[in-house]
Amino acid sequence: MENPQGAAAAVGIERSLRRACLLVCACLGIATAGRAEPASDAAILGQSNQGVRVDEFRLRMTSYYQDGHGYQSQAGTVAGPGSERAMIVQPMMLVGIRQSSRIHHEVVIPIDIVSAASANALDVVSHASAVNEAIGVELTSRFDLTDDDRLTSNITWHEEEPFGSGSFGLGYSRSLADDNAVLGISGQATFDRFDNLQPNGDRYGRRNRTALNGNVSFLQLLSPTTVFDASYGLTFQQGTLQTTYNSVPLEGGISRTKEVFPHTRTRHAVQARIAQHLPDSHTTLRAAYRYYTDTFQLDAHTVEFELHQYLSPWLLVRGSFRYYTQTGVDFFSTAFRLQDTELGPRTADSDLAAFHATEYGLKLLWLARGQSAFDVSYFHYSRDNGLFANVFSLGYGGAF
Amino acid sequence: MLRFICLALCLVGCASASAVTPRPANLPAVELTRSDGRAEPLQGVLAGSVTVIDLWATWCTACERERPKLERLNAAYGAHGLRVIGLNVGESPSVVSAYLGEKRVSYPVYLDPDFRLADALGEKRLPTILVVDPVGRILHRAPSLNAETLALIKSKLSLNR
Repeated sequence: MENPQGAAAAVGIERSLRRACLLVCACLGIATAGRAEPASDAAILGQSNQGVRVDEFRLRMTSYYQDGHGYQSQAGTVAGPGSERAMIVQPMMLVGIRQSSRIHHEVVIPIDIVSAASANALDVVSHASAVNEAIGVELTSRFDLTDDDRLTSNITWHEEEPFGSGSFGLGYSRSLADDNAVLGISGQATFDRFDNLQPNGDRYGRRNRTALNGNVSFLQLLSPTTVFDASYGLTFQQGTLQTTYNSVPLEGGISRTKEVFPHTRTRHAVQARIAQHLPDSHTTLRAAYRYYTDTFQLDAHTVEFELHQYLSPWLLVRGSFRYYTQTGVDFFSTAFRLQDTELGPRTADSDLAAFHATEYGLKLLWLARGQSAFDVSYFHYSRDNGLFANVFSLGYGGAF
Repeated sequence: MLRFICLALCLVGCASASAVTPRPANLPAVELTRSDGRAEPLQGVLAGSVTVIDLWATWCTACERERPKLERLNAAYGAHGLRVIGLNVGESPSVVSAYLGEKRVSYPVYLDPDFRLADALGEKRLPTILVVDPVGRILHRAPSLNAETLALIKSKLSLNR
């Protein structure tokens, strides 16, 4: 500051002149109330509406079509894989509710309509999944305890004919280093109950399983245009973990037996992501890597890339690519040998086999006036053990 | 499990290393370029006023939400000696000019295309709101204009009610 006193004096003279002008204007009845008295804090901050109100609304319609073959399905020959063809339509609604400046709730209602055009295991023994509907409710609440501390809670409920699930979770995050970093921890407990439906169609009461999950995450701004985050998650599952109506072909192709899993499963996942924005071209690049392992001896690696490109101020296109590979569980078999290990774990579920998978995606987002947006997206997923899926989604969202 | 915890801690440790760098308490003596191309020393920009500096970018949606608040702040307290300025970071003059041509921004906007000032301020997040006193001391940093920021501005303008 070369001459702060001089500058301050100049401002002082300017202020005196302004006051004099305002006084003259007031005398003439011209002065506005806004000039005479500064606006309130609430008016400046745009918080004039302090009551409970809906501030976000989204609708999404997703169609998911998959086709392929898996040995867990009984829709094929006794020893061979059966069809996994299915069509799922999922309408979803999200409502954001602002309770106060520090409390916000989000309610999501997803509905699944499953139409299995050809039979999977369940279709053979029951009409349940020929056309099956599922509905759920998810309530997520965010409490800003201070400017740096945030508490989140969530409760979910899901119900369909042979299956019901409920979960609740708590999370806490703290901004560090003047918001240049955020540390978060969270926990989730999930309780499932379902019919003990056998491959031959018999039902033997109900079964349960429980999952406890804990996560720790860290986000760091590396520059105004670069964000890095890393997370670690630990999940412990206990109970009836297998799909009770899945079956496993026996050696020799003469018959099948039911799938059996160990009673517990412990899962670990670590993930790192980085995002870089390129302001001059309005491009954002994202890359992510995830490593997963569990006590079923399944190891998996995921690499993901995304490119977000503004084609105009109101049109955003996103391209994505994901590569996934897993080793498969150590008790996977498509020709299980019944010996003294009859009661031991076994599965022919293609989801638990060793495979490589790729997914390509394209999304177009149109940012309309009034903070509303429309989007359309398409994803193609395929893996080398006989399954592919096409996902088409339409969405609308608005903030108020 | 231990190796995952170690890996997670390692990632956290690596990432947090940059978070402990102390940030300056005063504005550095640099020259700023206004969006119309004029160059001014930062001290001249402050003009001996309590000044609110908004670090922003055209691509930053959170910055977009701050702009109406800054407009209202400027309208409410400009007559009381407050100066509000925008500091665009990391973008070329043509991008900023095109943006300002579409939007109505009543306060002056300056450019920091090479992150020179943002780096000197130790700021990586956008938006960032700085409150600076007439001699260039940074009194307050915040991710948005909030009640605390307003209280400080009013106290510095001697407008506490």
